[in-house]
Amino acid sequence: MSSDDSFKQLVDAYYAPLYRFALSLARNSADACDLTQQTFYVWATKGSALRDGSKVKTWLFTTLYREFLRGRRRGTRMTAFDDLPPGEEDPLAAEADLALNMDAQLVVEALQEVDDAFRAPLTLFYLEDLPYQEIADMLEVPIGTVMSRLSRGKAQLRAVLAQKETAQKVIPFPHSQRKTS
Amino acid sequence: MNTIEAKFILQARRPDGRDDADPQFAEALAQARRDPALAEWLAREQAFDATVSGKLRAVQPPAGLRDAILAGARMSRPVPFWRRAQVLAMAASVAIIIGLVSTWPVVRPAADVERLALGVMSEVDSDAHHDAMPRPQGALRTLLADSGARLAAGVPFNFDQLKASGCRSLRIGGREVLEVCFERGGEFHLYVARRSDFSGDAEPMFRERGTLASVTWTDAQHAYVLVTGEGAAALRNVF
Repeated sequence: MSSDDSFKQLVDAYYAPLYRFALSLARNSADACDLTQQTFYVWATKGSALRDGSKVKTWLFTTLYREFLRGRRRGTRMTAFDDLPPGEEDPLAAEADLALNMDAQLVVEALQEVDDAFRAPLTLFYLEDLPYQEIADMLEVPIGTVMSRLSRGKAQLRAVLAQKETAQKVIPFPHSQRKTS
Repeated sequence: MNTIEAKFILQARRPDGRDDADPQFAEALAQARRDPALAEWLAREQAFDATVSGKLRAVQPPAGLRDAILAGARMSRPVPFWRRAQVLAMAASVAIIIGLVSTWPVVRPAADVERLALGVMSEVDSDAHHDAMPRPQGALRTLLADSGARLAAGVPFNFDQLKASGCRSLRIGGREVLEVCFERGGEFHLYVARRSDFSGDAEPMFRERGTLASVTWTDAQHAYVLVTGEGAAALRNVF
């Protein structure tokens, strides 16, 4: 198999999940596309150094996350992860139904409103069905930190979904038209 | 493990049960089986996870992203080191140098046939030549012994065949020359060199120096010198 064919296979296998991960991090489609492309660019230039084929997926997601952090460092927005507030305690009973009735785009938007520190592990957990150990490897943080961020991230996501649900229920009051004489 | 700790751990559990063998999850799940409220919480948690997961996976990348990735990577992928222009240029230079070195005797300026003739006559005059006196073998011997055969058209053997037949090899002007001595009413000495080693006129050139007479000529493949101490007439009879 040629290197071109191998690269195509790699792109076909991972570009969609990488894009979804990037979308949750970057909060908009254009930046998510850039991040995904940048990840494969890094693979094209440095991927041959990776000897263990079983680590390709981890390598790609880790690279995308690093690129996201690198881009964010260049910007003005910085979040001190350790200063983030604790998450909610318990889920509300109807939250599963609440998410079920929303369209996918609204759920993505809710995820994007979750704080950065929680969003990355949460996205990997939901999108990639990854065990917490692997998420820890990808994000290069301790296992306990991943579990903590998953817990608090889920709490934030529930809160955002609830807000969006409430906003959907609000019926805009029609503006009164001023009569002119 | 209390309920809060169990919830903390179970929030990282994947809904399909793949993590259940993990000791941390196993203990928390055992607690959920003993605690109905915790079990109910876990069921809600897993339902929520499954719903959110399904929604997020429904998001499709924009059309064209795949093609853009492939095209972009193709443009930016590093050229293998052996295909880089500098390396190719260096390899070409090395190849040229090797080629020049290996073909040096061919490409260096050829010596003149005149030089070959003078060198041969000096050789025949030398004591070393009288000690050597190689004799032809096989078909070459038959040809040279034939009194009717003339050598003006050269000999029907190429340089390598002559060398393989046991002709003596010597160097004149830095080039390899083969020698074969034979009898035909007197002593004759034929010298054969590669044509590419000696430049000059293809027309036969007769010379006499002291008691020696010689004729020098060429064909497409070889340069020849025939020398004898029997005189110019005897030389012409063989030539």
